[in-house]
Amino acid sequence: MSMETHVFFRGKLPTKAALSRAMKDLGFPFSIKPATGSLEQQSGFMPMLLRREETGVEFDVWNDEATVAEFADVGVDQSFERVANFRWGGDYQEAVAGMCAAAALVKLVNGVVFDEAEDKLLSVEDAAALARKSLKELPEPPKQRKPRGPTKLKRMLAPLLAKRSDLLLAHYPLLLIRPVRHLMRGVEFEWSDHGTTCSARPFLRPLYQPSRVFLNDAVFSESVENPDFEPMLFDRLAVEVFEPLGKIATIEDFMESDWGQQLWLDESFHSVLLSRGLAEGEAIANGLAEAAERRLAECRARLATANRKDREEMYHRRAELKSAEESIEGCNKRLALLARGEAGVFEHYRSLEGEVAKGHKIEEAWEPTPFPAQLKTSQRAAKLADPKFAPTLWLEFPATWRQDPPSTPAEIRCAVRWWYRQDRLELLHPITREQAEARYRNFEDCVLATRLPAGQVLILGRSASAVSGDLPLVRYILWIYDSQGQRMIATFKRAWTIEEFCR
Amino acid sequence: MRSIDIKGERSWYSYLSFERGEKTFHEYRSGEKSFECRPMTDEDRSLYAFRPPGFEGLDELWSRILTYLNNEGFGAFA
Repeated sequence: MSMETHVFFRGKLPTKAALSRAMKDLGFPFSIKPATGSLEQQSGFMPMLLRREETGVEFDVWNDEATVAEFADVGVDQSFERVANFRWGGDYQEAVAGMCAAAALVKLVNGVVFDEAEDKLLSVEDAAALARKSLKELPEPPKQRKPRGPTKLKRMLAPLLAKRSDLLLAHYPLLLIRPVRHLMRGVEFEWSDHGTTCSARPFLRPLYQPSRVFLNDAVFSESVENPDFEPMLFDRLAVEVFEPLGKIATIEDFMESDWGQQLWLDESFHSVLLSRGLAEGEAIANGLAEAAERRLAECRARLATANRKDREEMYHRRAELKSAEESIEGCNKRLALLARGEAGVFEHYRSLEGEVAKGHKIEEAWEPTPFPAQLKTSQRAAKLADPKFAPTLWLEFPATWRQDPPSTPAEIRCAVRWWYRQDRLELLHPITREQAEARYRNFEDCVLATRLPAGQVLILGRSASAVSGDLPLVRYILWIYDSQGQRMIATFKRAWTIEEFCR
Repeated sequence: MRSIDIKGERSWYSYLSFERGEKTFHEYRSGEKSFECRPMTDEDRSLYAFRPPGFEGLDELWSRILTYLNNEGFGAFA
């Protein structure tokens, strides 16, 4: 399945309404929603409907002749001036949406299509035939279908993207701060439970780093069906993702951050080299090489004295020797890079940045920028840094989905859940005492919060699980937090007997 | 009651095993780690194996916890 299809054309793009009509005329069950405005203004995910189900495709347009020239070898008429691109990920429905939209557009603009999967140019008729064929391969929709999670999320993100031009929904599932100079910063979404649960984890990758070095825990994980999904998600994105990541603007910021501090020396080598210069980079590289030589000698000595009849020991000794030899290889590559001199080193990393940007399909948002070490400290203007980002202009929601714990002793507040984030305790999905009591009777999860006379906050959570014979095993957990950072967790459990349960 | 876990300047963890008839204690204080296992007495059983209170029975649970902390040498949680 292709990831992208291109429509080459001359002149202006039609309106979204015209494209919707063209799809309808061709018998395609897709429409653009909202079908307002011109395609000229569209850049990024374009929400569409397949019958009543939400879907969509990424769309943008390139206006340069150089791009058209890139396709000269596949036979694109060089008199075309522009290229409209439909892009999708692994979702087949979005792929078909893209193919149908491309087939309709090419008819409207009297252009030609280049489909990556087919690897050939398609006429107006060929493009429509391909779209029809792909459409037939879509499973028949059930009578009632709800929008799938990823599509729903893209729709939720659309207003934020409209509000913040310094955000980019990059090759989904990444939402990034733009422009990107040396650091990719943002959030990565993941789906589980058949596309109904969405997790969000902070994403930080220096473009010049040869490989991805972080895989952080999710700061948010929730069913997209939860009515409070949207406010909760945007709250966490602001507080736990964009607020901290938005402050990391320079390579030095990165090295000093919690993220940079997690790196091994061979991983932080690139940052040191590009921010502080060759001399510091060489010092690290030499230190690593000496340590690797020592380790290699130790591994050889251990292998020489190992018990050759002990297969397990021999396996481990050979494995550690191999690892030590690989470390030497890595050190030699590092030293060879440094031997190229400043110009060679910076050229290498610039090229690597380009490859990483291309791999993530963020070329449009990437601004090639000198590395700090290329300039004297006094010459390092702010433009060397990635932009600072503050989630101040954000999506606003009523705060009904959360509540603070009680402020006075003996007051009790009830909720379905709670969380403790950034030294702040919050009750989630507040409910009335009556609702909580009903949940209590029905063995549904609920929490009660109060404040103790000494000022600590006490939370009582109760959850039940079925054990043998469907009798509930009920767990009570008390959390107590004080203002000095001390916390207590006390657990209780109760197994119900059949007599108690029937009473 | 099953366990109490306290984290802060002083870390203290206790587990009550009614099956094995013992209470275990792990403590970490001023860089020193300690472990202790004490037998569970009849009084312990009557104090800490109890029917959970009804809805809003927070005081009852909190009171049992304070009794345990006091009886087992942790002292006040403040």
